[in-house]
Amino acid sequence: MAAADSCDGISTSGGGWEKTVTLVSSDDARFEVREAAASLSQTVRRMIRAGGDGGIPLPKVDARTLSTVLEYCNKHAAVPAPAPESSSAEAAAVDLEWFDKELMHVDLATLCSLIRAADYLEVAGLLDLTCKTVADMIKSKTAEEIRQMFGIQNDFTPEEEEQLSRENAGVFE
Amino acid sequence: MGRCRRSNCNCKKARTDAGDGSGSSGDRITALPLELRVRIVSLLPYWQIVQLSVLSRPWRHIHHHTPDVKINLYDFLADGDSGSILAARFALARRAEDTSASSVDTLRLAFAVGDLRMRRHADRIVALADARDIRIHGGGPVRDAAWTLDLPPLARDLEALARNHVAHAITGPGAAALRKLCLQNVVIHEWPPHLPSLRSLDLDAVTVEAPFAPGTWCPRLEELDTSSPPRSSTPAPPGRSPPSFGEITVDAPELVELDVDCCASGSTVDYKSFKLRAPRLHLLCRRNPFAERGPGSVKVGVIQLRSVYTREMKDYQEQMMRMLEGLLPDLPRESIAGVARPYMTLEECDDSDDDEDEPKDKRLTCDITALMSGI
Repeated sequence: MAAADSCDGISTSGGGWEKTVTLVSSDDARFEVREAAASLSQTVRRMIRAGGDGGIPLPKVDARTLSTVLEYCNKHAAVPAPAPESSSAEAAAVDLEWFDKELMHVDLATLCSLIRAADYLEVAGLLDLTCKTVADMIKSKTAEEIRQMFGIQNDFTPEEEEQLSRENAGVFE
Repeated sequence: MGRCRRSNCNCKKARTDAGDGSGSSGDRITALPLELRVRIVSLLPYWQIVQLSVLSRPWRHIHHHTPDVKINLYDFLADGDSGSILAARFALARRAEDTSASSVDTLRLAFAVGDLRMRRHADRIVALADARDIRIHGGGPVRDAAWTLDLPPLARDLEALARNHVAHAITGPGAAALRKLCLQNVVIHEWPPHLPSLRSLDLDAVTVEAPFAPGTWCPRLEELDTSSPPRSSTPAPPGRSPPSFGEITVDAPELVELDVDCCASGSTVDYKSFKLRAPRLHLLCRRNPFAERGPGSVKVGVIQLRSVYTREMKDYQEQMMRMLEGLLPDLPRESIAGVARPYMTLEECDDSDDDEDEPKDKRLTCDITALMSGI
């Protein structure tokens, strides 16, 4: 155990068996999280190393988004180093995949907040997951379908549109 | 910042202040910073990224910024839809002219090499994208051996996978700067004349129908990896006769790592001769090496032999001894084993993914650097 791993000043609790840190959202909600889970965020990991007092402030993430991010981190940090080719490692991978899928059942606004948060917090796995979710929504849809799905306003002038359709001749009917 | 106003907030309760859908909550996707939108769309094939440029102004040049460009020409040309591919080419051309565009890092291009129409499109796409890393996935046999791949100026890394077709010649401004070349399943009639900057060469199931002399072709080569060996000199005869392996000469002054895997295709092979001169070599790996030639003038690094399936480790020990005899011509043969023993290790390989009841690979290693400085 790396007990000497100092974390000075940051409120750690449980000198027991697992070290925790406190994260503070933009709207001042406090989350006590296992350090192993919080460290999936490279941003948080750096702040833990830098030390600090009374919790790690995350001014760009609101409580609602942060709770989902931490749901992801808690689940993914809980996975023990898999014993190769054991059936339990296989089962854990399937379980994780299922969890990820469920986590992505959110509305578009939430999904976009998660993308921003995962980018700011540098949680690579979650950023990949959320980006892929949006890409899958776009896949094989026409421009008009994509506009409707995302609420995108077409702000081109008729002349510009004509030029675009010339350029993309063949891409659209 | 005031802390802790809601210190025990259970945020599961704090759902739904953002409305219940995209319609009323505005255009959240477009509001994302460009780099995040680029990250999302980079997962799509290039033609679809081009299609997104008509969504609205903020999306107008999205396809000028994706680091990866993925184009599968089968998607277009199988059903005669060349309009889309022309649109993608046009988009790449505009991207090349746009000074605020990002350069293409990786181009992934799949097409049937034997289809001349696809090949023409492919050549244009390679030129227009001017990617640092070019990955070509060629399918189908090609009879026309005169295909030349013109590497654009920024190319540094080329990987070409194919199914038993003739490798393209490599020319163009990028050829002189190419640092890494990876070929798989191709037949090389004639080696590209000269790749002066090449550092790493990886040949997987490649047939070389010319004397194999990578050191001459690529004088700065540092890493040579051949799994399923380069069959040199002797063109493989048609039909089922076993492949014959010719003479291999690796004379590479800068070579640091050499990995020869002689049994990747399931059968073991031998060369008529295998000559090696690599004064800077640090790691020589030969998997099931049946060739009995010594490692030339190796003075530093390690020799590593790996057992596979049938061969007894005893054979490898004998072979190692023969290699060492070649390296230490001044020592009497019978004393070599004793001199070398402290520098040899025998271990089981953990990276084998065989079933547990199969015998594990074993690895015999001799630390040449230590041996040479020890005597």
